[in-house]
Amino acid sequence: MENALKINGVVKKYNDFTLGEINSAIPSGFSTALIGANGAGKTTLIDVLCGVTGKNSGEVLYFDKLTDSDSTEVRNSIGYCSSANFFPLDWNLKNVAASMELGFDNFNRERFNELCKKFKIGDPTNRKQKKLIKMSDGNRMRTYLAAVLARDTKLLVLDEPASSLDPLARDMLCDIFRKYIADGNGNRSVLFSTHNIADMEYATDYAIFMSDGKIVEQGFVEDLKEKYILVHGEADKSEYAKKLMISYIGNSTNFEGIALAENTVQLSQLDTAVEKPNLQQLSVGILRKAEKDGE
Amino acid sequence: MENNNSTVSYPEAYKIYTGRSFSIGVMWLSIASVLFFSAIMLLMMFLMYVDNDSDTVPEPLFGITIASIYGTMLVLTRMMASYDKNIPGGKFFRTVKGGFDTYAKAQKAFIVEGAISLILFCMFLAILDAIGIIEIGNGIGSCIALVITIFLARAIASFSRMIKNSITRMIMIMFVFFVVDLLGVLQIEAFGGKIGLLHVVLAVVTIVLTIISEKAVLHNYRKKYWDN
Repeated sequence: MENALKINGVVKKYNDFTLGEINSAIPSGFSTALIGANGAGKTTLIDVLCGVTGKNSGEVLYFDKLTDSDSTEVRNSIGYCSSANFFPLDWNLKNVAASMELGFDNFNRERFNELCKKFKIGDPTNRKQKKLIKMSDGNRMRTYLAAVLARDTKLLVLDEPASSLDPLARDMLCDIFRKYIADGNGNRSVLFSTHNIADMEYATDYAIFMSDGKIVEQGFVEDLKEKYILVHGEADKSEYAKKLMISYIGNSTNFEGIALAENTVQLSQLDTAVEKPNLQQLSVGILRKAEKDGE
Repeated sequence: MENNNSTVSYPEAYKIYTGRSFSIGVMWLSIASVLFFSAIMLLMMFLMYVDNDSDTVPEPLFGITIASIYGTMLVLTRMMASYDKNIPGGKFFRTVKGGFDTYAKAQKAFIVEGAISLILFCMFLAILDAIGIIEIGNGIGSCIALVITIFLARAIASFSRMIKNSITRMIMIMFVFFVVDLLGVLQIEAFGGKIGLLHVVLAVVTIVLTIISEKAVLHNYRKKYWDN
């Protein structure tokens, strides 16, 4: 399988936080979600991958052939945007278009105008323009998305794109991801970080779970749903079940948690209900275990 | 990250960093400076008129001091601007074509923008002096000396941009501008606005210091902030 990105031993050190060592591959032709708690290192990893932040060691292979994040080919191939104040706040849509047009070789102004109208954030051709500072957080995010989608790229890297969007807009974002990938005939990929796992499940093919600067689990969502099970049971069976589970939450009457699918038979013998977890349940279970291991 | 020479031109780098064209930027900065300076001068003259019950034109020292303060503000506008990745736009600018080289070109374009705006502003001053609205003593000569003074202050103050603490950095920049501007105003008054060998030497020193300080500041910024 081809990879959009291959991350080999990437380490980034700050005074109070270390990312890595990160080893992973972002598969080409799919949408990958970076999932983790606040401070897990998602933004730092995205910044390193997009050349926003330097790394202390390791290597990133872009599209199976390029290694320099500073090269024009990599810059033109990656459509990156962060969630918070990606553009200067005193800019309007016209300023965004003027800057993007020169900043990248593949920016299409007509497409940007169309996307701005589609996202209902205004018309960049109008004389009177609203500055970004006067827009709501959601409309600012739509502006960033319009700008990044107006480019002909091979990889979208979006840091928390859904955080400031309303549920309808999140649904639209999932459709955008799907269409972007479908239009690329297997050569386009999406990498995004998110807290809104439930809302973005439809757009997630591959998931990377991060905790405390490290990757704790990764794989195709469908494979992970086969690897793990969701377990419910009554409290009187919890003590034994707990030993077979990787994450557990319970009260005086019942319990719930995630276990490895290989323990299904043993857990079923305890009169527990076993089912396939959704991505939200899987994420909570995996991240809770990672936090516990970290303690 | 490897070095990657930016293929964008200086005006293009300016546009990437400001969202507007270089000529529009210079025009707005010049118009704003002329209007703002005129407003200050009119207010001062009105206050003097009310106070002294006379219509005397302000002394040259007064005019050149106000002009010096305003010219400094004009140059400081871009000099104080920050493009760190944690401020709005910071991450975007790190992803555009050419990366750091585009940033370096934009910074140089900002210096040229400041210089053109300052020269236009001083030409406006010379016109005001010629038609007798304000007096700055030997009009054009004073204006040339003023441009040299402000850019000399800018070149020296630019070294302070390498100071990490933002408050200390700001104090140092203000202090340098204050001292150099003060000396500049006093020498304009002392020479009566006449241009001599001293000004030629100062102009050369200003150009050399500007080149050295910009190189040092860019090198320091790349090492400590851009790649970090």
